[in-house]
Amino acid sequence: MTEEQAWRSPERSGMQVVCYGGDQRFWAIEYTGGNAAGWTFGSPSFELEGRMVSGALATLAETAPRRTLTCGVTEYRVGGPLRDAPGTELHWIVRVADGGNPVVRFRYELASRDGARLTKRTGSDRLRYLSASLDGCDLTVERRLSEFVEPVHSYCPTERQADELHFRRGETLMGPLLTAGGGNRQLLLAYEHGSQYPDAFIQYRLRPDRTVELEAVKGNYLDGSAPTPERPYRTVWMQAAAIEGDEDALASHYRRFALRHWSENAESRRPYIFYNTWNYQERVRNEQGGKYLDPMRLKRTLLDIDAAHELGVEVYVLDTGWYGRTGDWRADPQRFPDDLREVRTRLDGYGMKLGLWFNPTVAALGSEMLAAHRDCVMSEEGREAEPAEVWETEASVPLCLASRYADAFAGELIRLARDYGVRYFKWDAIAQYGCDAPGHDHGDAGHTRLERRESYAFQQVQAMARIVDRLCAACPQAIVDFDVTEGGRAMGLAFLGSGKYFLVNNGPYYFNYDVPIDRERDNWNLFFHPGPARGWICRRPLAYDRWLPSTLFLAHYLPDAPRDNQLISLASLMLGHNGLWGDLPALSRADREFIRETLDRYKQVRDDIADSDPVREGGDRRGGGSAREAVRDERTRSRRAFLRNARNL
Amino acid sequence: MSGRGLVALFSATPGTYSYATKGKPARPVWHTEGVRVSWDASGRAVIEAEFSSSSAAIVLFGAQ
Ligand SMILES: [Zn+2]
Repeated sequence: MTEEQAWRSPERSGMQVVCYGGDQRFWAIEYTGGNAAGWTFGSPSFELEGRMVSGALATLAETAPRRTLTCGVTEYRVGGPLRDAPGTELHWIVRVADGGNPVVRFRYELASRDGARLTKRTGSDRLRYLSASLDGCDLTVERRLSEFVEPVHSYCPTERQADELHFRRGETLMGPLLTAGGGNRQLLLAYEHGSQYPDAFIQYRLRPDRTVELEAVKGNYLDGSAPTPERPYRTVWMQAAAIEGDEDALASHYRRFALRHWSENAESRRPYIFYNTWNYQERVRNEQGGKYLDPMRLKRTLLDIDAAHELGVEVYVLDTGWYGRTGDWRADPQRFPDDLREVRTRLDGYGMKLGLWFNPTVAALGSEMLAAHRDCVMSEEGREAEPAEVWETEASVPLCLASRYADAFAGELIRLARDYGVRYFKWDAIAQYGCDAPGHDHGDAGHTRLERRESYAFQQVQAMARIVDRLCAACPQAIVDFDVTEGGRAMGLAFLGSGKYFLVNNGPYYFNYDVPIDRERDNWNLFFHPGPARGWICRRPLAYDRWLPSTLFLAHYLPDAPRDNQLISLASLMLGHNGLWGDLPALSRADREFIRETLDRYKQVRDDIADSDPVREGGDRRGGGSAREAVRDERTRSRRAFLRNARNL
Repeated sequence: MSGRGLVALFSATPGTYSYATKGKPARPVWHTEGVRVSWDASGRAVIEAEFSSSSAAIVLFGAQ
């Protein structure tokens, strides 16, 4: 196709995206005015009816009206028939920030009018999402988000530099972010999916000619599926940026994109102060010989809400146990006989929001949800999971999120937002694998068990994001939080397009440090007590903050005396994790006032802090202190530094 | 440019710690006990924090 036939977006701060529709040059980021940072991307390619077909287009046109999104972004849709398979169409959907943020979000849709099917002739996925040249870049870095780091028992960001040998050997990198820099130019690629490192569903492949390709590994599509105009094959979202500047500038732009221009679910980005009942429930179980659900009573909850309000908490979250049975998600009539009415009235009076705990993948044996969705029960190797109690409540069985049940669950949440005024939804216990049943939407009897299993694991986080987006469309004030405090979760970028993460519970357990305990009777949690140690653990994943704002990663700190512990907790919270938990009514009046006054001051500047690029200093010097700065300025927008004593670690 | 934000300091060892901000923070400044903030001619803030135990210090710029 010629230059004249290319499609060009409007120019934004000197940048535009251009679709050429060719093999080597399918689309590009281009700048005007002497900015040398442009970047070109090769076409996707798909296995159709047993042969690899390029996504290069015969002709191209803008194929849908432009869409303005609430996150300051315009969506364009450009496409046409494939050059090498004219019965099949490819559409490139691209989102560009109106205000000049350079991070571009895009995906593809494939649809056949002649019944052509996606196939796996070799037995595995053959789908290339893009190719791009890294020529001229002397530093290529894989940035992982989903390595589960056992010393802190949390996902933490890790990175690996790719050198000449990696390119020469054609190595693969999981990412999901890949950055490359050289001269005064910085490049970024990312894909929106999730799984624990190294269990890749999508990966980058380096080539000796210094190109990089993004390719499917497993589960990305079903063998023999025929995408149609009514039900096209939709790829994952991807992200790309090319800028003039250094790596700090690239990280700053990306962080800003994550905060302001990625998701329309803006509430998930706000630095509210969150409180959750779980720590107190654990104290009752571990220190008072009671049960986890003992505190789940109206009287205690009202007392707790009063104390939370005095501290300045804005989102009050009832963790597990508020419901009668899973699946139907209604308040337990014994624990909350007035159906949470007084809880709501009290919270409304204080201007606080109600949050509730959910396990989206279970329904109790006696629930209406299960009765209406027997066909959606998860199974593996032909066997349904044994029913199991969920936190001292009725036995439940797992339901599959890649089945029609997902819509019913979204309906439940919308009902709760409407009827109970719920504004925060904590989703817990979602293991990525667990279903290989035929008859759901992840493969049928014609597929192998392995393909159905991988398809479920691949689709799960997309199904979760769709539920969140449906909820937020019905209730824009909703925030959904995906608990990734344990391993085996779909951790990555996909969920962050819709919600946020609940990152650290209590960090490591005793047995993670090889300390023998009686798991039936003893408290598992090593970092459960007031004092500096909990902060060493919880602050470690703040390293995400360079690329992804810490407001997207909730963790809770303890408000208990002495004052040193309170200072550590408040300073840590303000760096973006924003959670408090513990026995709030037990705090002295003086302690409540101190916390309230300190948080009131934090609230004056918290939006600036959320907008700030982090700066950290210290942490390795023997016996030295450490400091963190966070001041918003124009050049890097703001900063944060922290000094941490080497002895703390 | 708002200059508003936070410096948080953590340490387990008693002593005096200093930190010079990279940016040019806004005033007024609020801080926890044991902290002194002075201003360089360039507009950067210099923080000195006294630790007598394992603790943290908070400095909020643009807050009162
Ligand atoms: Zn299933």
